Amino acid sequence: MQNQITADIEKFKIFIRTLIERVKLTFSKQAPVRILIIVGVIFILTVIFLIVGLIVGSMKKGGLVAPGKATPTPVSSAIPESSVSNPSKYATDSGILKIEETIRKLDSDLNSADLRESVLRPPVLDFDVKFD
Amino acid sequence: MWLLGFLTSVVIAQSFDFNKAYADYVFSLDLYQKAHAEYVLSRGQYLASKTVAAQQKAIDSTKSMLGSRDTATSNYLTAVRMRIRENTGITENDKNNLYAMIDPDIAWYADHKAKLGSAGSLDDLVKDSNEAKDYYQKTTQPNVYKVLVYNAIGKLTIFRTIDKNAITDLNAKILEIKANGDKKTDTVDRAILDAQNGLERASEKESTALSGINSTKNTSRDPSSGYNTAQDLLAQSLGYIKEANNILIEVVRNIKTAD
Repeated sequence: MQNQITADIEKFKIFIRTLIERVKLTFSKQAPVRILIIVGVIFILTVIFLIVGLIVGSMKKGGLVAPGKATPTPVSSAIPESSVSNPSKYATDSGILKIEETIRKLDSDLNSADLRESVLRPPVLDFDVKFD
Repeated sequence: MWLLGFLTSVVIAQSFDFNKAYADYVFSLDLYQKAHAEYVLSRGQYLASKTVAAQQKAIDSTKSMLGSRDTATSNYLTAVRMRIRENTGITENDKNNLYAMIDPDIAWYADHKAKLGSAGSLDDLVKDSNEAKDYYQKTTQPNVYKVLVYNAIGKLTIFRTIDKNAITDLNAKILEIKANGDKKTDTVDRAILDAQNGLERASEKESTALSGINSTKNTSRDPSSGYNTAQDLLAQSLGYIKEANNILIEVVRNIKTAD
């Protein structure tokens, strides 16, 4: 039994020595070429993953449209967008832009207006004081 | 010394605004609620035991509760007053009329609170409380509802004024466009007219709301019903102003687009 264990330990030592020798050989003579190949492959794979990631990200944000997928219909809002497709000479007129800014700000104020002013609702007070 | 006192009073007057008044009101309302909880507890103990000690405790807690109720009401009215003062849509004349309604109420609660110290029995305190109840229901509440309607109309007036000024500016620009012959203006002319009509309708709703709340008698059993009717009309006014403003946005879009 004892001999068997000793033999196994010796076999394991030989295996380790052989492995170390092979690694040394690899990194001494042919190392530069192999390491370059490995690093190159890893670099190319990283670049591919990055490009794929960017493309997928852009498609999710709507920057690119995935082929075969229908373009979503834009949701109509109460206020049309300020940009116009066929601009007149007044599209950049400072007077018109100032009016536009004012009424768009007003639109926002109108939508958030609280006419009842809930914070000023009369307080709830107990006026029924009695001791019978 | 006199100058220092004057400057201090000026600084205090300048720093006291609606936010400060509202914070004071919320704080005093919190104190009232605590005092009310104490009052409910001591009242229950007195009714259960009827001892002299329990009676004295009930007197003390009731006095404290009534005093804090007066302060909370007074601070509430002050907050409402500050809101009116800062509302630029209300004319100075209307503001003065509203102050003439609120200020005597604020003074009344201060006097009422000062009087509570002389109450020597629970019956005295019940009488004092009923006096405040009567004043609150018949005078303060209807006044507050009127003031709140004026406050809402002030806001709407600001909105309408902005749109009216925008219409004036747009009309000037449309005249320029007509003179240059750059664009057809028939559509925008009609749209401007629609916006003006909408603002007129808004103004009419406000007038109806105002005359309704002013004709509400202080003896009305439910003063909030007149207020709610007025608020419904003011909500309609807001709707007209929104519509008019959307038309103006469309007019600007039209002007910015080539024929």
